[in-house]
Amino acid sequence: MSLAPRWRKLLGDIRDGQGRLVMMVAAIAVGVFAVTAMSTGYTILKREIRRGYLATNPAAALLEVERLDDALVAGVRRQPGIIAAEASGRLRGRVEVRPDEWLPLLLFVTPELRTAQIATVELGAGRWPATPGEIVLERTALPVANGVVGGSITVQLPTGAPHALTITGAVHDASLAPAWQEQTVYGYVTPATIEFLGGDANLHTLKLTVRDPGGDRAGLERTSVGVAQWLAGEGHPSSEIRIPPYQHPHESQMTSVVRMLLVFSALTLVLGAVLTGTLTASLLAPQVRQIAVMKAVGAGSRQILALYATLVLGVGLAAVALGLPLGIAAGRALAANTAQLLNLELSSLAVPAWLYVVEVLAGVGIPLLAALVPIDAATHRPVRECLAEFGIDAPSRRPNAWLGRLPLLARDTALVLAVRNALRRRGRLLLTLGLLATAGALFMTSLNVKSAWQQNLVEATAERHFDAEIYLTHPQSRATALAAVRAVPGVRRIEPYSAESVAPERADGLNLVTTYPDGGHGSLRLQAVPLGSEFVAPHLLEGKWLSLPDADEVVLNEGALAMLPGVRVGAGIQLRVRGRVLGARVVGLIREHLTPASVYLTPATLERHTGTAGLTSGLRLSFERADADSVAASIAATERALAASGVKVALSISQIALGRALGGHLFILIFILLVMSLLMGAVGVLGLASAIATGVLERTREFAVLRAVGAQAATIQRSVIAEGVFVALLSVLVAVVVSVPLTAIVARVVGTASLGPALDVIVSGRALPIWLGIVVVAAAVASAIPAWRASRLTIREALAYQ
Amino acid sequence: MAEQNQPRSIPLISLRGVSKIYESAAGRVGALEDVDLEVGSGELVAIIGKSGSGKSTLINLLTGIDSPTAGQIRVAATEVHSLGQEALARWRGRSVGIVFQFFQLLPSLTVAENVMLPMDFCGTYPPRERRPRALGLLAELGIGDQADKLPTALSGGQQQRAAIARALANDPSLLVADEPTGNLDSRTAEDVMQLFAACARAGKTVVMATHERDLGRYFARSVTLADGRVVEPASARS
Ligand SMILES: Nc1ncnc2c1ncn2[C@@H]1O[C@H](COP(=O)(O)OP(=O)(O)O)[C@@H](O)[C@H]1O
Ligand SMILES: [Mg+2]
Repeated sequence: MSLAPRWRKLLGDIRDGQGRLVMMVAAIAVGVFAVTAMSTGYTILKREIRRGYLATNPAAALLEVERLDDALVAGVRRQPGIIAAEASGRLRGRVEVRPDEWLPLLLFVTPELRTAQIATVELGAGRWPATPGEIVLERTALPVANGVVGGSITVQLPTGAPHALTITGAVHDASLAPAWQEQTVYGYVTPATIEFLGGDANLHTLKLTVRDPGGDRAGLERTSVGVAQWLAGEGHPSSEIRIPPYQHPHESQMTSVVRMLLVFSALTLVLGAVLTGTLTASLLAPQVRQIAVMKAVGAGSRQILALYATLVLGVGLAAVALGLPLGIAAGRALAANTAQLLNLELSSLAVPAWLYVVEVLAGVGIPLLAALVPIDAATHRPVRECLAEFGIDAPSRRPNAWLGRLPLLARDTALVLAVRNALRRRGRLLLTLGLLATAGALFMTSLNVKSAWQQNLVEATAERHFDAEIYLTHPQSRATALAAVRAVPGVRRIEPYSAESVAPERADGLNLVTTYPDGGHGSLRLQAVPLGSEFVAPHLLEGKWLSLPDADEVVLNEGALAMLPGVRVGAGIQLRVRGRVLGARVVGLIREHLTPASVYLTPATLERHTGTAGLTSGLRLSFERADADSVAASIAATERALAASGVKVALSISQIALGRALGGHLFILIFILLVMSLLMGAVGVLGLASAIATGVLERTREFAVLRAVGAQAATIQRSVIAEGVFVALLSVLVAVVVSVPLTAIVARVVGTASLGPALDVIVSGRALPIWLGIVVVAAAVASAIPAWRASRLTIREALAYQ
Repeated sequence: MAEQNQPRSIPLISLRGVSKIYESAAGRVGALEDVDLEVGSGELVAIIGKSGSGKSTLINLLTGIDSPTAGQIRVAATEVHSLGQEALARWRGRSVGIVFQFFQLLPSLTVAENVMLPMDFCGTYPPRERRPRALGLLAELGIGDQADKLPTALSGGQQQRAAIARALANDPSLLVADEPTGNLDSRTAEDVMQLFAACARAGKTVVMATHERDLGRYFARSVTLADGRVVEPASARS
């Protein structure tokens, strides 16, 4: 069965249009690849992060109670809305990661690690602790603690001496961010181990699961408050109720970042589709006469439309065949990479069938829609018009006479011609500009955001002018502590510093917070810093910084403002700290980078409200020498001096260790943005090349006439290349303008993802010249081929051209 | 000369008050003005006139490639001026064969495939009969041995024969040609004219635009156009 002539004709067109068809396939494949990669990554991550989190059977609420016993827990289980209740504990201590260098330790205490029902962890290696001297660590905490399964680590609770514990195993806790990100070591122990370490082995934390935990928050609060009130009635008041958002601490950031990337990838596909449209137009440009002939011998417009639609359909399928598998592979790699950032175990890399279907439909359908525009136009052009070519196409608009009078152009007819030609076909110019400008805007945005992120890190460091923080086990004499440290050689400056966890005061007097199980995310901190502190350099957004020694005034950072609905500068605020209510007026708002939500006040105000006059719960220090070894040695010497004066230290942490936590894990995002912009750029340059090629084809006669009146081949070449470069330059202008709001949007998403304010909108000094270079060179190269072709045609050929 | 402008048999084509005005940047051009014309079945009619006199315009109106500004055009039972684009294409494919001055064979198709194209688009003959029919037509026109070559491999005369074969593919009752010999040497032109004459003898109506008066002997009738008007009455050859 031989092929019908019209399909043979299509095969001939495919042979003749190979270059353009390959460009189309490439452009669409790039878009399909990007969309598939992002949607695959998004789908897998979204599913797995939920699954992983829910698999731990997370507590919907946690209540801090003085002492819990079995009878009390059994009573709680009978309260309305409660499914299960379990007693557990959570203690802060420290762990020695190198000689004299300590990191925070978060110990989760469970009587029966094996049979715990709520907020469970999964044993990945080794075995559960059996004797008091044993501990299991979260798997991501092993490298942070410099420990191995079977080895031992030195652990100290605020109330005890350092003890060596054997690491019997490693667990995976899907509800925590990786230890390296938080620079905190997570351990899991039994009450017996706590006793061994010299800590309070009583269990204080009541973990609850409820019906519909992900449901409405008000209902969950009512249920939790109900339990707290019942406990109070039984003589066991709750000092804190924690209702963490029912999700992984990084889920919403991950979701918003990947969603943003998904939008950009969809944009890439749309750009690829637009390019398919322009390429189809240029594919059809030399076909007008043949289409007219086919119609003259009886072909209906619809038949010809179907013919070329089939061609684009085939192109789309080829592109999907290329882009889809690569995109899925890349999406899985993205998911795996991000899973590590989230401490997530990917139980399945499966991609749902509907996603494949959507991908194929989008990859084939969107370019087809874009191509239908020129196909429809070409097949509906009147036959007579196509058969009778009347010499050079007359421009329909008034010539832009002013162009010839521009001083730069006046001397060079080729340049005037180039600019005029670029402006002649407005539709095509806009498409090409759109393609190139979008790519350029995204490229500059990614470099801008990279600069902003680096700036963010610099600012975060600049906001902390101290080298180390020392937290005491409990508030102790400030005078003693300061005197002890002053004598330590190498200490340059010392300031008292106290931090407390607080919650907004509620009418029922309960202390209800949204802190995550790791105790950090979602918490609100109260920080007391002395007036005239040299260690903080507040970047004031509104109001003023603390100026009175003791005036019931507080200053918030942006994170705190976001956590306290309805509060603004000038308003009163009621906070619950150490079981007491602290009323104050908000006098200022500051911006801080990579710092949790914080409320600042003076030590005197804090002391008055908490009854801790003359005491401090911590110190901040700067040293003569700030290198890692000197800092570690100075901290050790300081701790010894404090111990000698009877001041008990819970934990010392250096800025160097903290800096590791701030790390560069957001660079993956910037890398993806860059790759995506380069993909878009490639699509844009293809678009430019095709636009120039089509223009040259349409102006074949014009070139012949030019040559006939004496233009040299080089002049024509220069004119065509100049046209391409002119369009490229225009696109850079547009890109610069678009990149500013785009940077602001990405900076906001990234800022939120880093638990801080939106990043500053920084225009990277390198972005513009780099992109300018890329796009101008690419444009020159892309127009060189059609330019060469245009100049090579003999006059006779060109005038006879049909 | 009693029967000026009158057809010799039942009129197949009838033009009534047909005008065509082109609006362009240069102004209004009256390409055809108030033309009445009837052509009978089986007639071989020449449209004669100088360049720019409106011949192509008339031919294009006849085939529905262009639409009149005013007037009615009927071919057999079809009111051509009232058809939409899709209907025109279908009608044209089945009822009209068109031959162009520049042959207009599709360069990527073989000669036989070019001939099969109208049958393909119009679905006229069953697929397996199309190639034999194309080969038969090519053989009748004396280029059976060129069937599987690409058009560019053929001489001008051969290409025009192939174009005529394509025009005959769907066995239309009307053949229309716009200066079909304009690009051929006089020997070849004579051959091609013989073919058109043979078609007319076989019962087809042939309307042909030409400015070569020396081919006049082939035509039963000629209609002369000047400045868009019929100036010289149709004349019988005899
Ligand atoms: N598309 C068009 N736009 C404007 N004028 C046209 C167009 N087509 C034909 N004409 C004008 O109409 C007149 C008749 O043209 P045409 O029918 O092509 O003549 P012929 O075929 O006899 O040479 C001429 O003056 C020509 O310039
Ligand atoms: Mg003509």
